[in-house]
Amino acid sequence: MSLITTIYTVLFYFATAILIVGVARKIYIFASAPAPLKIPTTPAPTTRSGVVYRLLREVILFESLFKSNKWIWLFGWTFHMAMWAVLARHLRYFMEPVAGLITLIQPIGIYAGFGMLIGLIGLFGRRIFVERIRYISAPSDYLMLLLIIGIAVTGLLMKFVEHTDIVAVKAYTLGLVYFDIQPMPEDPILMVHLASVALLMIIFPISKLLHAPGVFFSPTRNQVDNPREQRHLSPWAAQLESKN
Amino acid sequence: MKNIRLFFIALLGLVFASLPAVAENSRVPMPEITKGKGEQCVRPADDMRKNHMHYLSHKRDKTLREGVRTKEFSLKECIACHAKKDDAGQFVSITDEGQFCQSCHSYASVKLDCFECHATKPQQGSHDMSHSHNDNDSVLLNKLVQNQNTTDN
Ligand code: HEC
Ligand code: HEC
Ligand code: HEC
Repeated sequence: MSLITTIYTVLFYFATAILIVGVARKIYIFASAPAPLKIPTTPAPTTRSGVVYRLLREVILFESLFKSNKWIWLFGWTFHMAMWAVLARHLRYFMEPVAGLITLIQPIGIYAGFGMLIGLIGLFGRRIFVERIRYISAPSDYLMLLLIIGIAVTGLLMKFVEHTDIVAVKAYTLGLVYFDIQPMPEDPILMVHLASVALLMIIFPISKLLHAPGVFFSPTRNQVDNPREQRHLSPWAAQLESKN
Repeated sequence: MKNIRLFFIALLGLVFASLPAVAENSRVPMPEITKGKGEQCVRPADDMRKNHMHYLSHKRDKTLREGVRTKEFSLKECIACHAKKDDAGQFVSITDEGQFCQSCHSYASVKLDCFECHATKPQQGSHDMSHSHNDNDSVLLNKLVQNQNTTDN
């Protein structure tokens, strides 16, 4: 096994472990963090199923963003939805035989690659050209966008300009899944693409990208608007009360 | 600290456990790639693996827009070299399960529409392009017109 294949293999097992353990740990922390106040942003649903529906609208349509700013919504929503399509297209590397649905969406995934890039460039422009956003932007905000832009650009380059050996790439990814390592094609663009993805996986659990699981734990979005029907008392507050 | 060290040891163990013991009997599924006729392809095999789709679409544009009809990268030629015969000595369609183009494309999750018009088997008996050319083209063009008509409706 070549040195490069070895390095990437260690990198990918490391990144996968970090991503899974890291995100699981963060979700546990989010889930056990107390929500001392009843603070759903009104108008809010008054039932649990209403809350589920609200969260679905939030993560599928980005409703609050839509209500607050149309052009940021356009770029942000385009990027996120295109990314799902691109991720779905990449599932072909992880299954053999490939599921019919995944084969069906392959062409959509290609166009989505451009959608992702357009969305990202819009969001990058927002950080540069909108004064009040630029003021609150930290280096990590730019770097995160640049990293994902890099992943999208190298991916599109491999599709449209400098092809790589797709069959060998799939053999390599399946090898990772089956714990039976196959040689990785050593094309420079592929190497940049994969290294960036591994880096993204590693920083995911320690970065703002945690907004993905985080949105589900946001009290302003996940609480039922029922303070009159039911008193909101968090366990630790109840303890304090019983002491007095 | 101890946990982190354990984590890395486990990780390294995983990597070493995944080294293929014997390259031949790998657990990883691969497409069935049969060898074509002759010694080599129209370009080196690793170039073909990466770029055959570019060559084909480039060649198609050359033919359809500029009328350049050469053998190089002709789809007919690919089929002529890569189609296999069954036990009865009949050519098997290149789009059949396990055949050259199909096996690889199913692995890569690629669907081709080329063979709605183009022949999937070599013209039996006449491998000489100059003879079969006209027949082949009129069949293709008829199908093209049919397709146009159905899409127009
Ligand atoms: C709607 C029918 C149709 C479809 C679908 C189609 N072709 Fe063609 N193709 C033609 C016709 C008609 C010609 C012209 C033949 C000629 O004039 O010599 C042609 C010519 C070509 C040529 C140049 C002739 C040769 O064989 O050298 C290539 C290469 C080619 N097509 C490749 C493709 C590929 C690859 C696909 C699938 C991505 C495809 N075609 C799909 C109808 C079609
Ligand atoms: C003269 C016969 C011939 C023609 C014409 C031909 N091939 Fe090949 N092709 C071969 C041979 C022989 C090999 C195996 C070469 C090797 O292993 O070095 C091959 C290899 C390949 C491979 C690589 C398979 C692998 O090992 O992974 C691809 C892809 C391919 N051909 C596609 C095509 C396409 C597409 C066309 C039409 C544009 C075409 N070939 C035309 C004979 C031919
Ligand atoms: C070694 C595996 C392999 C073999 C053999 C092979 N292909 Fe491909 N082919 C691919 C891959 C991989 C792609 C594109 C994957 C991608 O870019 O997503 C592709 C794409 C194509 C495309 C473009 C499809 C599209 O919609 O973009 C055409 C046309 C094509 N192949 C024709 C052929 C023909 C004709 C043969 C048989 C002579 C053949 N291929 C054999 C692997 C192979």
